Amino acid sequence: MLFDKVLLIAVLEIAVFLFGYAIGRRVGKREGITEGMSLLPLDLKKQLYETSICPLCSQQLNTNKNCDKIHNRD
Amino acid sequence: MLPGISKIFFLKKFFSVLIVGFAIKIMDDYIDQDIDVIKNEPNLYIALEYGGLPYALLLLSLAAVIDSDAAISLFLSSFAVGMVGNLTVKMPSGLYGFFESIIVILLGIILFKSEMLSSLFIMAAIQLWDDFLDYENDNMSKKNLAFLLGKVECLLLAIIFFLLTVFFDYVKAITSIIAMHIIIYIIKLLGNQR
Repeated sequence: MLFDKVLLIAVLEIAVFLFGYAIGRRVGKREGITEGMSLLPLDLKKQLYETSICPLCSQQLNTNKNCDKIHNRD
Repeated sequence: MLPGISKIFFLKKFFSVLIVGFAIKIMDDYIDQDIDVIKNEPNLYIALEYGGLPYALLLLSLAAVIDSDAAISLFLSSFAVGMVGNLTVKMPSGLYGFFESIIVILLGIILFKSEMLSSLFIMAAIQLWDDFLDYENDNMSKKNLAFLLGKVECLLLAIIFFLLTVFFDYVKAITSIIAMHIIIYIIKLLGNQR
């Protein structure tokens, strides 16, 4: 019957789309996490440079005393 | 009426599906009664108090009298779909939920053949559709399939299962969707009355 054939073709097409979508989404998510993790250190450094506030612990950097060569901006 | 389908056949199937739908809803609400109390959601089993079990059995019997194949296959399917998520939980029978589902499905296929398949597909479609709608409300629930599979995957699977039901038994597909909406409407009324 034509109706049954159309139904089965529709089911097959949606199943193929679902398969591609499900795999694509999962692979894309993993790629996105890897990409984000590689960009994160740079972004943290940028935030620290722009605001002088540590993005992890929200502490103001000591900019007056020359007690820490790494965190001293002067 | 639908082509090749008599009015009596359609009505018999419709009422059988609607009545067994209520029985399944009472069973589902019995299992979820603690969660519904916490969430303050309407629960048919709590509303019926001690009458829940007798009414569920009465409704199942009535549905079986009207159309035994549709009613019993739908009830077995709802049991199988409900238990399939419990992979690691041992049931009172001593078996894991997953094994109980497989046994019930095999039994249903032996007894009802394609009727069981259509019932299984429509139950899966309704479960997925329900989880898709509930995604925003209980997106932290481990049992929500939309959360486990993804929202779009859940919707697409629901469509696939619905189309498969239409392929096997389109009368059951139509009547089940109508019955589902009637049951949801009545539950909503019950919630508004409280």
